[in-house]
Amino acid sequence: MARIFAYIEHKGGVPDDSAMELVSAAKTINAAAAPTAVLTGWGADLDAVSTTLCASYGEVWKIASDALAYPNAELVRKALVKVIPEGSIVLIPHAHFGVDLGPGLSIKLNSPFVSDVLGIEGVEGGWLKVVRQEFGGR
Amino acid sequence: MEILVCVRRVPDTSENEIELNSAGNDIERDDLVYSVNEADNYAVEEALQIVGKVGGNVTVVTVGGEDDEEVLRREMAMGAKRGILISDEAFNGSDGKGIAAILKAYVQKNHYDLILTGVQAEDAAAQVGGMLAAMLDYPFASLVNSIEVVEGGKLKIGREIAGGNKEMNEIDLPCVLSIQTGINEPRYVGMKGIRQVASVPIPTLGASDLGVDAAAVGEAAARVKRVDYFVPALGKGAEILKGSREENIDRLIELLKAKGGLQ
Repeated sequence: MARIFAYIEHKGGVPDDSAMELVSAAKTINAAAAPTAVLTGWGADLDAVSTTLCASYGEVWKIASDALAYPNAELVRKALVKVIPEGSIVLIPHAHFGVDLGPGLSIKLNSPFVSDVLGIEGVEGGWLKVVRQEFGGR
Repeated sequence: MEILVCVRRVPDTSENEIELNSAGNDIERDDLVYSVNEADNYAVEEALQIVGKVGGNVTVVTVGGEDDEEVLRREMAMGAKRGILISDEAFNGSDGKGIAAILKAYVQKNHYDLILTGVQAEDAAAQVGGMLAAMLDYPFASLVNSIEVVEGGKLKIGREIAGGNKEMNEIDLPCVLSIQTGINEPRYVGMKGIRQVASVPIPTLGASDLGVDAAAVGEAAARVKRVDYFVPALGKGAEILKGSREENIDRLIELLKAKGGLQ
């Protein structure tokens, strides 16, 4: 089973609410998974978020650089490509930053990409089955 | 400035009731009214406004079939100088990565300073712009809602971010931007404009024209496949509070307490 990473957005030393949703999503993919949180940033705020996440994630990887103090998807993507093994599952919050980051990251990791996922049904025969909506749910 | 705008023909949700087909594996496409994807139309308008200020040309491109030519002509009637239809049976069933790979091949055979896409098609995934940029190693920004051409081969762009805030960035050209609706007010296209471009030739390019390996795109190469299509079960509808302001506040507090939202 592929290793599962969750990219954690954070602000002011506090992880975004989506951090907990990603743990739940990872468990839906693989109930036995101990997902790895990966976060980027700089300084005391990054350390504080890392400490908070240790309670919910099997591992927490922080990529600390002053160049990443303000999130820039181009720079974050380059950093993630260096540490995330090809073949991993990467969960990203579907917010403005995720829209910037996800598609390009999938190309650089040579991974399939699905956005705006509303549900995960699990893995069947090597395929991850997910639910997303079209036409605004109409 | 040479600008390429990637457009797409989609079912017009303001003109159609979207329903499942009898097989339950797609929407019912017979008798659907199609139009250009709304965000793509804003992207074309933005491109036209940019070349109106700094000079250059706007080209619109789509990956699809013969029927998709209509959206190219519509955008040409708006003012785009050229339309390009990329069409090949080998492209059918491509996923987002496949479409991005096809567009990459087209871009690499031409010269564009700026590539625009709509932020998302109603039946798609807000992915092709970001994938195309990564394949080309161009910078990319999504959800762009303002563009200003500045000195030194750069753009100053505004993006909508969380909490209704706006982020301003400088981005190097060439780059790829996905355009948010509301960035401008797209101009009206009348029948006269459509007639004026009705006979303008639109080149059709296939896999061999672009040097695309047919095995690398299309259904067989797609790593994202639709396996089912369903209408989600309706949840409970919203409750509309219809009293006076004070009554509504009291009722809202009651509801929040009942649901555990207030202690």
